[in-house]
Amino acid sequence: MAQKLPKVDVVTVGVGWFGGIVAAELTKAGFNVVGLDKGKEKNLKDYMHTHDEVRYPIRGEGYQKLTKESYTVRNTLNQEAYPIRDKATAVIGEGVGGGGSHWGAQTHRYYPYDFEIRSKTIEKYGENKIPENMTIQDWGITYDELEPYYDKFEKMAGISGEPDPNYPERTNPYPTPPLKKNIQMLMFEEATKKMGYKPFTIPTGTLSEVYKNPDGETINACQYCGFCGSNYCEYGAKADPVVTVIPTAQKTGKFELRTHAKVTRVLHDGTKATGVLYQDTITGEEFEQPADIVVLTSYVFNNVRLLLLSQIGKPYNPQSGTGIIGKNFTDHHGVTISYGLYDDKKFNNYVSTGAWGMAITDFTGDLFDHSNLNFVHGGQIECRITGNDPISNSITPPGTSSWGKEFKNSPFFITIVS
Amino acid sequence: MSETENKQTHNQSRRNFLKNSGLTVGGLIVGGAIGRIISMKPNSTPTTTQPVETHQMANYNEALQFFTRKEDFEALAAATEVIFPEDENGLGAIGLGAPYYIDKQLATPWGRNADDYMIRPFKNGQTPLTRGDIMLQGVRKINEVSQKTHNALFNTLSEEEQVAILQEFEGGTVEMAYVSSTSFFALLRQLTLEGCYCDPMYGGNKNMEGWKMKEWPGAQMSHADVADASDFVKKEPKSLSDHM
Repeated sequence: MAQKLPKVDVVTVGVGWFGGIVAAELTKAGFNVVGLDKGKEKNLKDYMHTHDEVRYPIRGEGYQKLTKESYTVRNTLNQEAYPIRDKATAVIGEGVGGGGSHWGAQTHRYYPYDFEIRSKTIEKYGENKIPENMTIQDWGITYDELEPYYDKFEKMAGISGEPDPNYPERTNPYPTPPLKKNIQMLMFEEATKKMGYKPFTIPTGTLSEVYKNPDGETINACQYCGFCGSNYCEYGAKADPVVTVIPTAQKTGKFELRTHAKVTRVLHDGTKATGVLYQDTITGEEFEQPADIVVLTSYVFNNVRLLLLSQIGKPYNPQSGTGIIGKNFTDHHGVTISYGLYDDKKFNNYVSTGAWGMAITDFTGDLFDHSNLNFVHGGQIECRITGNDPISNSITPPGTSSWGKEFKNSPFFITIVS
Repeated sequence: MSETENKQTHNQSRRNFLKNSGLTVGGLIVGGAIGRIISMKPNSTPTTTQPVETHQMANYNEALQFFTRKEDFEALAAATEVIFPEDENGLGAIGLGAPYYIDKQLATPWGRNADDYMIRPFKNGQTPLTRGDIMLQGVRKINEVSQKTHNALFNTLSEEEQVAILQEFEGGTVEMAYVSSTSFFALLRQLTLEGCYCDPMYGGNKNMEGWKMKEWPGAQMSHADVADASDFVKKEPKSLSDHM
């Protein structure tokens, strides 16, 4: 029998970026917020030994353990779904801060087109442009409605960047200047400009200078140390819930963080959520936390699973196209990578940050004509310097064996820009 | 090559390593001297002229935590050296400590897949084996194939013979139980590279020699000084022990 706790105003399921932002904003507005996270507590003191390729990027120290439960994957409806086995390949944030503690911190905005992709595509190219089984739809909110919140997020996180020339004009500039430009970025800039494109430095939450955000939290200056995208930042130079919104919420005295607290059900009366049921993952004890507002702020599939288990909403049925829970989910974007191998140039590839580089967006959204193309939208082309951690970056020229004499000899005269 | 000869080569490469790096032995003596100075009480003066006793700190880290049979570990060591051989650039996997690194890693919770989803049923080619299981079966299989084709243990074969056997594993043509030989080889290769390039605290990448070969500066606190440098800047590597 679950122990019933005193009612609070708000409960969040997970305390990463989303839970942290909700906690900061609602506690500042005077509400009492309880943050439940199934992982462990952590703060900047835990970040001091992260310059370790084996422990962080390869073994996935900061990723959620899959010991008791995992996620299944299938490519088509006819296949059987199989569980992801290896923790390090799932790359799901763990504990307080979640994925926000080890993200690469690339922070573009979506385009106005993205929010109204269905109606704008039809408007320009006609109904037939969208195939029958393509489920794209308008978000229900527009870019203009969301712009003030993008701006607020960027100020909270101190984002360093320069405007994407393809964007509508910004209300405010980025709060901090773009990161430095290295040789690889200058090469990309020169080449893409010559081709008529509009390169710009990627906006990022690894900060170009020390910055104090409107809540009074300080984010330090990035050291380009090369241990970023899968690592925690010991300088507190990466925008991370642990150095921004969580301390902000805690300062109000209205935020209570409970770790090792795994939410198993959203409780509801059929029309409105009334609280959550959660388990102490150490003792197995069950608790009921009543709340006026329940916010699902965990990993996308955990949110969906919780809704399904709690029998909230109509599950999405991909065959009939009915239902909404689980439809059109958003997860991490895919990337296709190519490398440049030079035998006459040597770069400081060991210098890197999570999202350091330049990009062109001329081939994304509807910024180019899709009339004669059999797809909508597109992708960003970027020159990213992601570091050359030695275990994961043994890149050799095509045709070279990936081991043995030839392999060992090749990395010593070939250098890489990615 | 006989087993004894192979061992000699192994020891030879270690000796070369010590000779070439030129600092390991000296460094240890200095360490002992510093230890003695620190332990001296303030204002205390040596009253006699007795010779000072210096302690050479032996390395007790190179022993087995996971593997149990000598020939298994020898096959592993030989295979890592084929994957990452000693050459004019510097040490190979054995000299860098990769075999002991692998042994240690397999003895950790990672080697037992403690944080992974290991609940049955395993279907569609997913393996029920732990990493330790795969590596143990794999190195025994390497010796088995070696015995069958050359009537000798793997570590005694010529390099060409060793390469040919590992190519078979990589190509997936060797029959293994509950795992493909391709998957085993990928794990072996990954662990070998880890052993050559990990932080030296793990027991591999000895003296940061792997990093030096790759001109990788290791666990530096900052590269802000060279972020927009126009030329390549070589930095002497640092390990995590510098962060203590």
